[in-house]
Amino acid sequence: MQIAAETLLNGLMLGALYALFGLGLSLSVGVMRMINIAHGDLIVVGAYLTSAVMSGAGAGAFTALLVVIPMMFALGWLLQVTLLNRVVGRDPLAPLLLTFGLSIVLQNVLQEMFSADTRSLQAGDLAGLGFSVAGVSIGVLPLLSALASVALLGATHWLVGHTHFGCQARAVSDDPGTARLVGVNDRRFFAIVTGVIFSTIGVAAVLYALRTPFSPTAGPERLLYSFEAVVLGGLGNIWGTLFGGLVIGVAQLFGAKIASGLGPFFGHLVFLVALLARPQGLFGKAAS
Amino acid sequence: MASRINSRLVPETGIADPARRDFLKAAAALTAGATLGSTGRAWAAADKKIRIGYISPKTGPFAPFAEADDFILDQVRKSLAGGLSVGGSKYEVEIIARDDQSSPDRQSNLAAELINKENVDLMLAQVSIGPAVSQQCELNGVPCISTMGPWQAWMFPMKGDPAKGFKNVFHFFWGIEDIAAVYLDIWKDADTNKVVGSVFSNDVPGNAMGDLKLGMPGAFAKAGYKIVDIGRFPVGADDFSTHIQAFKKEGVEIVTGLFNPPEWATFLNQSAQMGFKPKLCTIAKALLFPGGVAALGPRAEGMSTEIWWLPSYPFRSSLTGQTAAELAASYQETTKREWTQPIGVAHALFEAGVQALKASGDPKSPGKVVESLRKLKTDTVIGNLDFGASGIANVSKIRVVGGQWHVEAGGKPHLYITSNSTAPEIKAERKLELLKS
Repeated sequence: MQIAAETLLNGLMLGALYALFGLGLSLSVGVMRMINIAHGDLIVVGAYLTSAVMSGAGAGAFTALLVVIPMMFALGWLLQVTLLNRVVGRDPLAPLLLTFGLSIVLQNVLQEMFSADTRSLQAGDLAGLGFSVAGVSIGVLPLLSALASVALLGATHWLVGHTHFGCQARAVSDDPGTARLVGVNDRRFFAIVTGVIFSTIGVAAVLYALRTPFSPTAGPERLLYSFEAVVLGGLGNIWGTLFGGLVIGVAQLFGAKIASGLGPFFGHLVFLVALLARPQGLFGKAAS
Repeated sequence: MASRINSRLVPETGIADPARRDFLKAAAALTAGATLGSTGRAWAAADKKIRIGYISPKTGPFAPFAEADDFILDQVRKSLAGGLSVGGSKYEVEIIARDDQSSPDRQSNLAAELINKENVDLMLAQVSIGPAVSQQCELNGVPCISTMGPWQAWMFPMKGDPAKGFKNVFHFFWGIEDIAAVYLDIWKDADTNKVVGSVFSNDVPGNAMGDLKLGMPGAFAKAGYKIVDIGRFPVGADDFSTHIQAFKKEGVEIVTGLFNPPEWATFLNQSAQMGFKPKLCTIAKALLFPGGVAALGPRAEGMSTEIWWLPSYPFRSSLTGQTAAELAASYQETTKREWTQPIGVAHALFEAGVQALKASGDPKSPGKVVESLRKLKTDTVIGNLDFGASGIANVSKIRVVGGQWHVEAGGKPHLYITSNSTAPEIKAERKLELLKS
């Protein structure tokens, strides 16, 4: 019983991180109708950026976020203005191909700059801290990272649902033509959205890199988990993404109980079964 | 329709490209020959040239194994700049190096290209990703020496029989049995309850090394250790709570297995979070590279692992005359990077190749080179290689000892030799210490 509770809890904490990976993707699919294949690689870029800031400024990981988030915002804005705006809104294949290429370029640039060595962010004593409640041991860092993920997803949900920014986002997403008629400059707006997406990627990158060391080729796997969380929850639904992430995290850990080598496989299996049962995702609206 | 697709695809995949380049080259050669009128002499000179092919994973996930390639190639090329005297004639030596990008398919294609287009006389290869090069060489009758993978992972995928071996291809490295012996040697004086938790990755090396009967856990069980093994973990795993729960429950005090550096760091973090405190962690692969160990931070203190080569080894290079320590020092001097264990092994690969060519009497005859390789005995910077003495056809063993990482002042990890009964000529430097709980 204790072991089952511990597994469930670990699965939820892992899943919350997957949901945070998926948040940026969820926004970009929801608002811009664009699937960013380089999403996972951008998480890795964020991790390297944080690592560079930490060693450059001698700061801790969370302090480094103060610099990394604005940098990622700027990077996202720049990428959207110079590159992604050229393909967004046309057929869905063009952004897919462009970001696929971007993914390959990013991996190779990272390898060229930082070599193939694995790196990690040091969380100091925090990384090894844990406590025990009724025989169930809980790691402090995973718990903090799960809470931060949920908080960030909540904040984004509020941003989309209750602010002028969100109002524009929903308008552009529903009907770009009409949104333009009432004065939303969608290209300029997209640049800001991508900036926001990249900021969430920055946070995801730090939480990821505190948990697991990373290397230039770690991106595609991050993309896979992000993508599954987004699709499982229903495209463009932020709480759906959280739920999707949690389901995959829990499925992976209980799967590992059944066959230790096949944890991620059970995550993928649950994803597949759920998708067969509800192709629009668990919280998605049925196609009309 | 099919032909239309083909004609459009060919230029993009680059299949047509090399052929076209070949034609251009041939045309250029013809013109040059016609103007200079020296084609005859050029052919004669080409005969006095030995071509050595070299394939390694210079990029991709296995790149750390080939990190020192540029440095080693540079050294070897310099030492062979004056040519090589074999059987009374002088040969020019050309080394043609290729990057397989850590892909077995690409490795195979490159090998075919080096064999058929560059007509290499000898192939050298790092086969950490699989023996595709050796397979090509065996089929095409080209002598080949490979290293950087347990001999089992080289021989068995090629359907080889340790008693019969192969016609053209050779390999030097340790085997799974050697690593098991080293680990037992590391643990022999440690005060533990002899309960070993084994965690291996779910890939080809992990399944071979972690086999409960034939692999390392089997050898440990025979030596009187109790094995706790609940199964493999998937490559790239970011959660080990299932394994850690089981180890805690069974009172495991020694953790062993095969990890990549990121996976091992995750395992360690989670162990600490879940209050699992083993007395010894003896791990293959993850603790090989200083970079991966440094990423562990202070938690690297006391981690133990196998050692294939260290600057403190008492051997000399037959190519450059450098001692192991001088080789490592010149690497650090030239590249400003930390030395790594594969440097010695990759250097020895070229030593073995050059010695085999020298001993053959006729380096342009594949048969003679293979013959000389079959009985090759040579001293290298990693110690003596002897292809006749291992008891496994076409394979020479290399020395492996056990060691422990200690984090020095300033946070830099250093690997000390602690256990040497597998190779007593290599001196132990420190006593094994248990992990602090």
